[in-house]
Amino acid sequence: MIASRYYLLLTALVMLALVSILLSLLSGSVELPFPELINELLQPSDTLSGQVLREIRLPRTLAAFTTGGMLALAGVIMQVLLRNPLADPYILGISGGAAVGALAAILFGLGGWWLSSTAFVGALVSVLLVFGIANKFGRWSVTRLLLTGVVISAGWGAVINILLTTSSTNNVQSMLFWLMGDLSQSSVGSGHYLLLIAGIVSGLLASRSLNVLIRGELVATGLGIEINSLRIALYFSASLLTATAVTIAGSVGFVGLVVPHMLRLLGARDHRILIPGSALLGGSFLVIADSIARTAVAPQQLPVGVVTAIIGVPAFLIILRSTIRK
Amino acid sequence: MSCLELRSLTIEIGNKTVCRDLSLTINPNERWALLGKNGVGKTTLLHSLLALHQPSAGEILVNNKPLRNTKRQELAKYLGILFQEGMHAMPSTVLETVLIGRHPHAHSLLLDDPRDMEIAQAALRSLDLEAFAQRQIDTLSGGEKQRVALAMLLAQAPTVYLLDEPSNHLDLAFQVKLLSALEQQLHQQSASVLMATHDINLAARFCDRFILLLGDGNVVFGKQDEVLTETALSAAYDCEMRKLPAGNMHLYYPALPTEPGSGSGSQALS
Repeated sequence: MIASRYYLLLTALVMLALVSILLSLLSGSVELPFPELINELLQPSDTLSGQVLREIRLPRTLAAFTTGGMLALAGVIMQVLLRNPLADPYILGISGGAAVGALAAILFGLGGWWLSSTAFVGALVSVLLVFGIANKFGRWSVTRLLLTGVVISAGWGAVINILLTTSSTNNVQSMLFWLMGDLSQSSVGSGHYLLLIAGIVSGLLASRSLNVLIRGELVATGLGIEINSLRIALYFSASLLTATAVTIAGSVGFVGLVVPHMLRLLGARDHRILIPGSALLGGSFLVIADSIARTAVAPQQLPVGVVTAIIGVPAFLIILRSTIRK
Repeated sequence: MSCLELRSLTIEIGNKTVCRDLSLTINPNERWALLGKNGVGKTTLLHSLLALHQPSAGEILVNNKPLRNTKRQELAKYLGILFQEGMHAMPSTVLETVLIGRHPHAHSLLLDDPRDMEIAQAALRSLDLEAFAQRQIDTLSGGEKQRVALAMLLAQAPTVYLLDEPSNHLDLAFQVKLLSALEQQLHQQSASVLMATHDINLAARFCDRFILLLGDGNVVFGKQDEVLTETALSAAYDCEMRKLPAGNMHLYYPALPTEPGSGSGSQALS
């Protein structure tokens, strides 16, 4: 049921998103105070700080928000699809496939467009492979899907290790950054925003069905849901979101697993709230993590995937503890 | 106007025949019991009526329309089922769970209909669950969960109620409570029920029509005195059954080894 406290939660999440984006735009090695930031956003100028803002901070912040939103959304969907609280966007091997693609590109000295393309192709290969095997006999159980995904994941893991151990030290450095998730090379365009918005909207349209599906397949069928078509739609939408996110920023961990659970612990179990809420919180979370990643040990940069875990673990434990006390 | 019609229905599962060439009609305001020993296919038969299992031959008509031409959401407004295996205990409250039962009737994609809330509250009241409304499902006992599952079905308010072992986990007082809550709602809606149960006495107390699966594909169905005979029950349950008059009803029980006539299988008491 959607009560007023849920609207309150959503409003708070929108505020958090705006504040996190603002903080991210303010932080960095070049001094850019708040009034100047507003000025630059309203009336762009050719000053150094203006260029830093428009060409570095803003694209990176937007990339972080979009990636975080996609991952958290994909996480919610995977957790319903697999009815497993431990499910995350990578559990079915998408990140593994993408990683093999990306690492192969790095190995051959390719970057930029090539790197993202091979990563995306790797992710899609993995998605289709898992779907093909799990769906072979016309009916796919959750267990079969999960097992197939985990096994394919392990296979990708082996290939990743081969690539890592046979590459030169220089390449290994970039490979590790990619594997941990890194936003320093990232940029997003209108296609990415559209995908995130389409994900939220279609998630909202399916949210009532998701509320029912999470109670079990038999119950959902008894209440009038065509679970097979719903599950296929969920599988492919979560996969597309994850593949795109991984292509933008490498396999940033933790966001997709923990953000949905944070919201559930805060009482948002209804998918009509959980879907938009996860996108907002996931986006804010990654924006904050990335601000820390690029400023904490400046001029050195940390991979953002490390920071998500470092701030995510205590944040999650605090929420868990406070809800248990209730 | 029949609610549910089976036409020459043959249902098989594995190498077992649940029923062969079965034709019967369930009309409004009828209470049917589905009886038979463990593993004979009671659940499979119920699942077939919801298109969860494909019959080998014959046809099922729901609300006078072939089942295979009925959309799942339409079906869920007309047929509701209490599954034998309860719901998965996702963290949620009793009230949230019962509200899920209104899903087939939802009009708006996002907004709640206040009537749904009233219906869910009424379902909770009729099963003495009001005090549990805000309790978490995973803190409930087996019997309490079963009552929540039934409240969810009452909130769904279908025209035909399919119940798979409704008395599971319930003590005697709540078995009676559950059936009287159901009876009240069936009466208000002119609905009918088909319940699979292993409890012959509960079925005899509550139902007026009986389907007895014999295990070899043959089925006996009809009124109490036609179906619940010692001969038919003994054949269906592979065990010597007795029928004993008690007030204006009958009690059914397996014969004790020392009872006279045990083993002959044909001696009638009534």
